[in-house]
Amino acid sequence: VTWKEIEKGLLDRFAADVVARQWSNERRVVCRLRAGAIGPVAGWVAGTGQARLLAVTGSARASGETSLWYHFDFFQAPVVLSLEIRLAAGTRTAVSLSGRIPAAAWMEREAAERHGLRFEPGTDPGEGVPVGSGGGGA
Amino acid sequence: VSGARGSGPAGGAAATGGRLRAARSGGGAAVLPDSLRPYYPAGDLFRIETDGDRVGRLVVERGGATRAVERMAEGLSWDRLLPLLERVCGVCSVSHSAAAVRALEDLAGVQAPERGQFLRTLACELERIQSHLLWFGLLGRAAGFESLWMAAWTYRDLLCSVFERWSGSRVLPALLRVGGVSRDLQPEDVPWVRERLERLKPALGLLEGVLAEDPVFRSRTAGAGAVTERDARGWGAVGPLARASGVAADVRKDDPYFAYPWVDWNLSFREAGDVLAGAEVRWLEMRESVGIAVQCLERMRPGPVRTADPAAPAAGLGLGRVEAPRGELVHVCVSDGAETPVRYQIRGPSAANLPALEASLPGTPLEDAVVALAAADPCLGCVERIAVLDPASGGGDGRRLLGMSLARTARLRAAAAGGGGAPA
Repeated sequence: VTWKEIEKGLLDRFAADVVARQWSNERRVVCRLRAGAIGPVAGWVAGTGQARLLAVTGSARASGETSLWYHFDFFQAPVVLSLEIRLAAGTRTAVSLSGRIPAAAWMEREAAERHGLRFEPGTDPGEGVPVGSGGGGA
Repeated sequence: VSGARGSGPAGGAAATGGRLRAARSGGGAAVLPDSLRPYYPAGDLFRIETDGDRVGRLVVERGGATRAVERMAEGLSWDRLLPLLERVCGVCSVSHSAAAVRALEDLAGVQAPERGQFLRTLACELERIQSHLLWFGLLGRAAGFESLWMAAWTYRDLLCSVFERWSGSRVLPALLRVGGVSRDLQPEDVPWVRERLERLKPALGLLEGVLAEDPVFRSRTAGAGAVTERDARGWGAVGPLARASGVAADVRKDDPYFAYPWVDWNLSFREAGDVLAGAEVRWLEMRESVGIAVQCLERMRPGPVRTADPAAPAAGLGLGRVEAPRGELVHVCVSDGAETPVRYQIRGPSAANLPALEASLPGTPLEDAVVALAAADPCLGCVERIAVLDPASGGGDGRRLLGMSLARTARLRAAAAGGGGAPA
C-alpha cells in the first residue's frame, strides 16, 4: 500500500468521521477524527491485516481538551497513520481498542494513568495478559 | 528507600511499610509488597507466581521512570532536549538520540547531509553490536556460562573504545544532533575503526561455535521461553524477540532511515521463538552490523556532517522510530510552535515486548525462567526486580531462580562430561 491509498481508503469509508486532514506525505498521514469514530476506524485499519498499533499518545490541550493520538504502522510500507481524537474537558472515559487490538491495553494504560482516563470496555494490564489469547490483533 | 526495596520482597514490605495484598491466584495466601509508585517511579517489577516447579503466571508491574524523563523533556527547549533523551538508556543511548532526531526533524522538516547519515548509521550499528554482546553476556550469566559472559563483554569493550575515540565518551557519545552529527570521524580514525571491527571476528566465531556445537548451551536454550508467532504478533512484540518468532519486521527495512537505503544487508529471523532462536538472530544481526559498518566507512564521501542552521520544530506532531538493538523504539513529540514540546513520549522496545512475555512465560520450568527473562532483553533495571511468589509458602526470593538455573546447567555439564551427552 502507499500513503495515498491509505488516505483514500480512510476517506472513502469514514469521510463523515474525519474532522480534519491535518497533513500527509509519503511517510505520514495525520488525521483528526470524531471522538466516537476511533473504534470503527481502528477496527478497519487493524482488520486490513496490514497494520499494527505502534503507540497511543495522550496530550493535554490548553483548551482543557485531551488529545489522544493512535499511531498505526503499515507493514510493507514506510507509512505511519496517526489518528487524533479530542476528548472534551472533563471527559473521563474513552473507547478502548483492546477488544480489537490486544496490545492496545498496555498503550491505553499509559494514557489512562497520565490523564486520569478510563478506557472502556478495557482490560486491566495489571492483571497480566490472558495466557494463550494472543493473535488476531494488529 | 532503595535499600529497603533491595532487601527482598518480604523484607522490603516490612521495611517500607508498603501495602500488602493478596496474590491474584493461589488461594489468596501469598502476599507481595506493593510498589512504592507513584512516589518512587523506578523500573519494572516482574512478579512470578509459581505453579509447582513451573511459572504459573507472570505479571509485569510497570514503573514510571520513562514518564519522568518525558515530563522533564516537556520543560526543555529544543536544543536542550537531546542531552536528556540520550540518557534514557546507557546501553541504547545512540538509539534514543536517533529516534529523537527523527521526531524533531520530522517537525522541523530538516534533512541531514549524506555524510552525516552514514555516520549516524555507523553509530547505530556499533551500538547494536555492543548491545547484542551485552545480551550474550547477560544470558551467559543467567544460564551459568561464565566464560561466555566474560568473553562477550571483553569483545564489547572494542565497541566502547570506538565511541571513546570518536566522541570522547564510551557510553554516552552524544553524536547525533538535529540536522546531522556533532563530530566527524577523522580520516586517520577510519582504518583504526576498521581494525576494531576486524578484531570482532573471533567473537563472532566463538559465538557461532557455542550456538552450533555446545550441547549444554543448546540444551539450556532450545525450547526455553518460546514465544509463538501468534503471541508475538498479537501482543505487538518487536526486535530480535519478534524476529526469533518468525515476524520479519525491522524498522531499518520497513521504514528506511539514515543511510540504511544505501547499504546492503539482510534481515535475520528464525521461527522457533525460543532462547536459542533469539541467540541465533542476534548473532546473525551482529554479522550484518559489521558489514553495514564497513560499508559506511567505505562509502561515505567527504562533506559536511551537519546542516548549517537547522530550523526549529514547527507546530505539529513529530514521530521518529528506529530499530534499536532491543527492537523498535518510538519517540513522539507534540509541538505548538513554542520553545518547548507540549508533550514528549517514548515507547521503548522493552515495553512493547513485555505483554508477549507475560503471555508466553507461564508453563516454563522455574529453572528456565531467568534464562527466558534475560533472553527477552528488558532493561537491566527490570531484570533486577524479580520477585518469585510461591502461593504455598507465601513468599519467595528472586535469587532462587538464578540458583535453579545455574544448578541445571551444572547438571547438564556433568551429564555431558560423563559421556552421555547433554540430556534434552
